[in-house]
Amino acid sequence: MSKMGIAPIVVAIVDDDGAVRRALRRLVLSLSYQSVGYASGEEFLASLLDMVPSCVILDQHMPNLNGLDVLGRMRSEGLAMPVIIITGLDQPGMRAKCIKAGAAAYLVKPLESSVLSTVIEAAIAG
Amino acid sequence: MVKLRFMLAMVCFTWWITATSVAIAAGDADAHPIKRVLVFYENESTLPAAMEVAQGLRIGLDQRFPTGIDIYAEYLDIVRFPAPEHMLRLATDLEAKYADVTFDVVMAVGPGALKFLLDNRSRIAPGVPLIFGAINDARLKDEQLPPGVGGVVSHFDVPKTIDLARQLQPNAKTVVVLTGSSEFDRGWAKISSKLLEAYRPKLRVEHLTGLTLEGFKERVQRLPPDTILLILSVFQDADGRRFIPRNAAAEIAVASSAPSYGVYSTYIGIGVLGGYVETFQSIGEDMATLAEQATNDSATPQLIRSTGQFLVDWRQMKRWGIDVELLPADADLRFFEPTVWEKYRLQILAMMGVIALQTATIGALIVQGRRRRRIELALDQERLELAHLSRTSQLGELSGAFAHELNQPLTSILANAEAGARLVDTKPVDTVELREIFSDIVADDKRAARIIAQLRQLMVKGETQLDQMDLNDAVAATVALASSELVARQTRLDFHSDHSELAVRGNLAQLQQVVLNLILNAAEAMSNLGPAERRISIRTRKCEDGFCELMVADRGPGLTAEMRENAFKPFVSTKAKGLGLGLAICRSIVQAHGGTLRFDEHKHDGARVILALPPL
Repeated sequence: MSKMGIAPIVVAIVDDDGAVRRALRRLVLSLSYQSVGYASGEEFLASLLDMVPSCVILDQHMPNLNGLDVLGRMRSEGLAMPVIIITGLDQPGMRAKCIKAGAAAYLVKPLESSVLSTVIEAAIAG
Repeated sequence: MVKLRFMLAMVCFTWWITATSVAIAAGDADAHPIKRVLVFYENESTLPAAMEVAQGLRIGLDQRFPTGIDIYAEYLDIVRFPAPEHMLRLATDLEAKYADVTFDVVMAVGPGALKFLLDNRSRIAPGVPLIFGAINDARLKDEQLPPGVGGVVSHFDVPKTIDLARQLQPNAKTVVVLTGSSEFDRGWAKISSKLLEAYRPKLRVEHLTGLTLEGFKERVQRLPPDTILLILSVFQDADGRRFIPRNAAAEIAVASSAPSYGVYSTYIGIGVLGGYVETFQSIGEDMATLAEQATNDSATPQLIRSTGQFLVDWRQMKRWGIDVELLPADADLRFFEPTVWEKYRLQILAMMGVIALQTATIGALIVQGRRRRRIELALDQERLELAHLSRTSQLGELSGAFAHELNQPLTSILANAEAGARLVDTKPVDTVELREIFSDIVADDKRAARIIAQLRQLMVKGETQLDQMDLNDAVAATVALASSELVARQTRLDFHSDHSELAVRGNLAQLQQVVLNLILNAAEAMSNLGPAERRISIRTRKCEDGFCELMVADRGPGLTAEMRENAFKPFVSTKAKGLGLGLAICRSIVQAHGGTLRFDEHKHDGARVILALPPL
């Protein structure tokens, strides 16, 4: 499905792991979305003053502010854009916690492109 | 008038005192006069027999005349100067020499000296008691001794000496009697011939005389070994050469191919095996006893017999292979050289005892040492097992973090691969991007492999080998392993080193286990703090004493002194979960590395644990 001709869909990727961030950006780009990467929750939250993405992929496992913390901050600021939380460490109860906090989806790494594509589409469709 | 009487009285008193003193002094002199003794020796002064008699006389006379004794000595040297006219001249000279000397006793040592004195006593020491010594009874047999003559009669016992020889040489059939050519020597030949008559026909008696010293030696060299050689005296040989008999006997005895015997004590110790002898010193002492008696009463001096004894040279017994068991019970064995065992038996026994004790002690120590080593090995093994179990358990707890750590590169690889697959379908293909994707996939793959390798390293079991390593590297690798867990715990870790390299000898897995334990303890201690406050500080440095130090500090509540004390004890834990073995195992690992592990008692805002390892 092409998104050309209308405002581009920008997917923000927030992950402290540079290699993962770069790979996910490539994957999102291959799915025909615009992509922008952030190395930490703080960096992402600061960017929201300039640009609000269509969707956010948030890594749960980050120093200082983890995915859930960033989601909490966003919601407390009134930012309702869809958030997909990804994690390499699937702790019991974390999925429910994220969904309850307002996450559109909770995915466990590694991420398959078909799953990611579906989830992004669903999140944006909202 | 009164004054005159006083002076007369004083003169009389002085005279009385003087007269009384003189009388007392004279009385003392009569009671303890210094005695004078004149001794005539038959031979010259260096003859060993004469010297021994002189020594005995000196000892005996000094003992018996404690107030003083004055000994005069004349050596007649009759062997070298036997002429009667010389004797007459000598007597005249001595008469003049001693005309003004009054003797208490006159003595004669040897038969020649006795004869000289019997002939000349009236001229040299008229009326003075005569004591003689060193004269064989055989020589006195035909002598009529005048009054005032007594002495020590010797045996120089030929028969008893032969009896000794037969006892030591039971198979001997021949006795060879060796005598020199002087008058004295010939006298001995005559006497011995008579004495040995009693042994015929059991023993064949041969007389060896009329030879030079070389002749004697040549003959005795050819004697059958079972011969008894009796050396009596050689004052002179057939060539008229004169000898000290002891020296001649020594040469003959050494040359002899059969054991030799003698009747003089001076022969024992120079090569002669033994004999029944009187010592010349004891003869001298006996003469001194008779001299004392002669000066104390006017009775005729006694005739006493000197006491003989069997005297045997142990070295000659060995030379001839004769068993000491054959000796008479009362024989005096001289020159005995005990074996080391006989000489130092007690010391050797004591030493052997000490050695035995030492051996036993060493043996016990070896056994104990082996047992201890076995126990130590078993303990080491158990410590390793425990450390491994603890490590495995720790890794199990961290499995989620490690899964995350491994998932990161796997996520990258999968995302890159799928993105790449899509990229190749686009036209034109962005080959630059494609290359970057492949490059990233390779890097992520290596990253995953590295994580697995590190995990495997920690899972190694039974490790004992210590390798040279950089403590900083060990810490960095551990921090990398723990990072995922620390992120999950929202705990920040700062690692700082004062040195680029801290070389230590250690086991990487064990040291990583210790560091990981310290890091997780620090994180645990701060679990109640807000994420922003959770900071672990790791610092390494080299101490002045060369030790390499690792300090892990947290911002938690810290430890009381009691907690610091107990922290390293097993089964002591502040955690709700956990056996409390972590730090106990850590300390045992560090101690096995020769290092120490302790809490810094000066740290109050949180806890700081200090690990110190010895330098290479």
